[in-house]
Amino acid sequence: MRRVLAGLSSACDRGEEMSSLNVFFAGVGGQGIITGASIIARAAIVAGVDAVMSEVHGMAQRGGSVVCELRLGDVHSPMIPEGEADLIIGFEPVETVRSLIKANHHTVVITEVRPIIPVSVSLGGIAYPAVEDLLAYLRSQVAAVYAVPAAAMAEEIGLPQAANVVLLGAAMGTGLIPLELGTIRDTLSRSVPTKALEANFRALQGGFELTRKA
Amino acid sequence: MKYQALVDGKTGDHELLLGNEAAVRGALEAGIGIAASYPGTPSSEIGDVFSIVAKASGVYFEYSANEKIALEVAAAAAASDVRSFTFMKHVGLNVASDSFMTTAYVGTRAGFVVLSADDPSTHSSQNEQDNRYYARLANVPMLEPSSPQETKDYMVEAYNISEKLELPVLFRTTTRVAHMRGDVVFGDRRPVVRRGVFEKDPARFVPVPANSSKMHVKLLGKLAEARHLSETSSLNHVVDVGVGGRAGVVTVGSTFNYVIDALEELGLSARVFKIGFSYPLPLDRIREFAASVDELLVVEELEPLMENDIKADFLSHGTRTPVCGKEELLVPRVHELNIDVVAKALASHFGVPLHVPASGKVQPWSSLLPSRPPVLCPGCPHRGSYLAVRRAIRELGIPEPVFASDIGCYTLGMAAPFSAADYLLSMGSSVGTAGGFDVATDQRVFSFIGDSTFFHAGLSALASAIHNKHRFVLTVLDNRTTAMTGHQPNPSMLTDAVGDPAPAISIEAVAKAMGVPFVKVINPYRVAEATEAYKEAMQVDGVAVIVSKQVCSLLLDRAKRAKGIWQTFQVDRDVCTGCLTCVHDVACPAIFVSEGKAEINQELCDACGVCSQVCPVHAIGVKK
Repeated sequence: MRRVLAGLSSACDRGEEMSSLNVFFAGVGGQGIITGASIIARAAIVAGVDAVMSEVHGMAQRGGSVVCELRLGDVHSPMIPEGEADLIIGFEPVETVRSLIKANHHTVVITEVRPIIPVSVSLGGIAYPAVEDLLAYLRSQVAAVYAVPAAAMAEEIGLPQAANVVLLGAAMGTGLIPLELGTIRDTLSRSVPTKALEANFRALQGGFELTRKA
Repeated sequence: MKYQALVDGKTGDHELLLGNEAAVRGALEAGIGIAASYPGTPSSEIGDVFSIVAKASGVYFEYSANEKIALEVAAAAAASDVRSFTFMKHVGLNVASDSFMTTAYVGTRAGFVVLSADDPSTHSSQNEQDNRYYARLANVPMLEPSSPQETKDYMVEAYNISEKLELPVLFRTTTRVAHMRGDVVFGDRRPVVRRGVFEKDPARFVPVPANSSKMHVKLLGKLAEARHLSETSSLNHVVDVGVGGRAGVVTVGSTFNYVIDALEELGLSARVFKIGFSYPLPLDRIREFAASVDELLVVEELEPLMENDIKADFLSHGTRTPVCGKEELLVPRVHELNIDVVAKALASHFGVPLHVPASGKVQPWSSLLPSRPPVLCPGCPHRGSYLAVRRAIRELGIPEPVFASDIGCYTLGMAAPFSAADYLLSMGSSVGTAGGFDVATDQRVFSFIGDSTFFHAGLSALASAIHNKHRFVLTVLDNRTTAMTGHQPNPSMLTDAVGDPAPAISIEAVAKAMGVPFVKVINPYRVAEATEAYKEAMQVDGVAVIVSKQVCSLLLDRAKRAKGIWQTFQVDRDVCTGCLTCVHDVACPAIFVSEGKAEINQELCDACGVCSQVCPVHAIGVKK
């Protein structure tokens, strides 16, 4: 039941032909990471693009590092090999940096800029690095870095839980994901409560504009 | 209703499903009437989905108090001609194994499937045991899918095999299949048979010695039949990657995905024997397959089970094709595999260069990044319990106390500053091991068990401790749910697995009825009172039981928000002296240090108020 990944190679501006797109999500438990990744995966299936995902469930309900891996196209394993992520969506600056083991110099990175300080820092172990340093490091390693104040934007919209949707919009704005924004909107409208729909659309559009302009 | 598509999806419909969700659709397509489980990651979502869809699909579903009981409920249903399903995490099958072993002897009438979700790399488990051994131990057939689609399809096939052989079928998944999401195309749903008749047949169903010795002979006959089914099964088949490959690979489960992707990455042509019906192995076909390749690499996670079977079989048949795997240190015997590990094994064995990303890998961050291990949630009531017991111990000057821990979120109390987990074996082990530390040492012993775990394996352990006059303080961390696996009900709650009203069993009443001399219910959010209760409990010469009752903060938070209550605590920076007692004693993810003073993250705070009670200068209060 494998379908041809239409539009995928044209969507990517690296020289080589691609048969798949690897998207790595990293953040902190409770940030809506799986929900965000699922929306892309569902939209992909609707658009006739194969999608497989690997999720982390269980012990880290809140506060622990959480990753989610999404692969579009002609692949079997839902897990991304080291150095093979095309797009990294980081929900927290340190977690974005931690995920760079999956990156190569062509990788595009979208990252939330607001830190969530882990207990290990509060208890006086190691200091939390300056966000500007983390961003400078990211910029020195990968093809493009989009620093997105997703949490702040979601708060401005009046729906703090929609920070993940802002990042989703930002991911779409890069043009890397071979799907229409409308398909994502349709999927979103089936995934969130009706009363929160308008705010979610605004979050999506806000993120989209931010990276598209950049 | 969420998951409506699983109930009324038609043939040819397709849905993006988690492996565990696909297992439910497979069970429904197979027409099961009864399902029973005890939650355990990575199998938990199967029960979560049944909780929602069971009534609408005409299926009976229960959370039993433990896996052994769940397996027994399902076994009896299948003996009564109702297709049944039980599912659990790998270590859950240890609990169920006493009855599981004998289900192979007595056999089944209707299809009976036992799903074991294994956890290589111990993402959420105390060990990474390989439950494929159980198929060999019990002499029952086993299936292992690689994807959500196969999970759904193989479930249907498992019921057919079970009925053909009148044996339970072991259905083994791993974390990466259970928690893999992919597109699943549906098949037909067979009508549900919810009730059957149990026809008595003692020679078949009562394994007293006179019967059981005959049953073993019969079982081995069925196993030979199972081997024949495996030899002819389409679940075992060859996949050719590239053209004219002379490299041979035998693989199974999630590892199949890694093998295919790694071969593509390496640009290596190979013939891959994909095993789906994995016990008994189709050894005749593997031997034939071996004749078509130059050499064989067996790629499987954990134990070298297929590898050993194949090597032994080739030896006894004089098959010359070389077989390699773990013995040759090509494939690791620990932890889960992935594309990178498999690519390395394939490249080194078949002599091709490893693929390196065209642009080269990135440089890692120059210094250490702050780690972010899982921690007790903001507002978690366990924090108050551990804080109180630590304070009571300090105030009474108890030297070297031993903390016997158990399986649940509360095991995270192992971390500083509580350091409240010194020894852990399995579900319920806190109670038995507490008694062992008591009789073997002069140290004071404190054990901690959750409400769900208490009913799972704590009850009989408590009876044993009381009767044997063990002395320790047992805290039942009663957060009114089975929290770690995603908030499933347990026997102390007023609702059952499908949301119907159910009799709630009082933990304190049970302890009193058993004759525990000291039983006290505390609220862990009231630190001073809780500390006093612990000091009192430590005077008891025998088992003292403290029931620390406070609903899981995730549920409390959800309930408060539904009512429109948004309460948080904040630090008055003019009053805060920067002593950081709150940071060091409470270790809450919501509290952080900013310019030498404590600060509370308003997004994370769940308003438990524990930090405000430890602040020596009363600088923390409800945000106005």
